[in-house]
Amino acid sequence: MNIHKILNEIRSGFKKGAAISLKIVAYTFPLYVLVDVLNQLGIVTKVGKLFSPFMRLIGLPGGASIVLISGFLLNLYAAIAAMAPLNLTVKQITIIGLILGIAHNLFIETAVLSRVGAKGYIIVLTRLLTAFFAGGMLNLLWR
Amino acid sequence: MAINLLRALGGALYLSLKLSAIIIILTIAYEIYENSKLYRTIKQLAGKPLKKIGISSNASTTMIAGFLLGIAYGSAVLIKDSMENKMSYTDIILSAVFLSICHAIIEDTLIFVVIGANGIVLFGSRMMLALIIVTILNKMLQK
Repeated sequence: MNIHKILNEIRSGFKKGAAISLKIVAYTFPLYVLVDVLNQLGIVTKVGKLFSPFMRLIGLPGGASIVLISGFLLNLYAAIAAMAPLNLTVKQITIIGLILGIAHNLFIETAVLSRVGAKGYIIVLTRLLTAFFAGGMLNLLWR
Repeated sequence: MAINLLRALGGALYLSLKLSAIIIILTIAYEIYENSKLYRTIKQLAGKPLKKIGISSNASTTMIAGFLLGIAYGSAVLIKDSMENKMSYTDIILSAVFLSICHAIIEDTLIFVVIGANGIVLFGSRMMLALIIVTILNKMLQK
C-alpha cells in the first residue's frame, strides 16, 4: 500500500467528481427552483389532476407524474430535483425510486444499448412495463 | 399570491450540495477501486453467479461496469467488448436486459436514499426482478 498513490487517486477522483457535480448541479438547481415555484403557484396540483387516476394505481399523487416524466426523458438527478420540493412520503419516494431506477434516461441509454446489438423498442418496452409492474407491486405489498 | 423564492433557492442549494457530496465520494471511491487488486478479484468472483443465469464470463467486465456504474458510464466497456466480438448473442441479450433493469446500483440507490427512500427495498426489488426476468429469458432462448 502506497500512501502517495492513494493520495493521488483521491485528488484525481475529487477533480473528476467536482467536474461531474458541476454539470449535474447546472440543471438540478434551476429545475428544483422551477418545480418549487410551480408547486407554490398550484400548477403542479393542476397538472397532477390529469394523471391522478393512473398514478393512483401505483400509489402516487398525480403531481408525481412530473417527476416520472423528468426521469424517463432526462435522468435521475432531474427527477430528484423535481421531486424534492413536493414533500412525498417515504413509501412514495421509494416507489418512484424503484420505477425510475428501472426506467430512466431512456433516449440516451437506449441509444447506447442498441449499439451493443439489442433492439431499441424491446428495451424501452421491457423497462417501462417492468418499472410500472414493480411500482404497482411495491404499492400493494408495502403496508 | 406570494411566492417564496428564497425558500426555493435555499432548497435547491441544499439539494445540490447533497448530490455533489455523493458524486464526489463515489468518483474518489471508484478511482481507488479501479487501480486496486480488488477489481480483478471481484471479476473472478462474479463469474460463477453470472453463469447460473446464463451469462458467460466473457461478459463479466461489462456486467460489473454496468451494474456498479451505470449504462452511461459503463458504456465504454460495453461497446468495446461487444465490438471485439467477445460476447455471444445470448450474452449480449441477457446482459442488456439484466442491466437495463438493474444498473448503477450504488449511485441510483444512494441518491434516492438521500432524499428519503428505503434503500434496502429499492436495491432488493431491482436485483430480484432482474434475476427472475433474465432466468426466464435464458430458458426461452435455449428452446
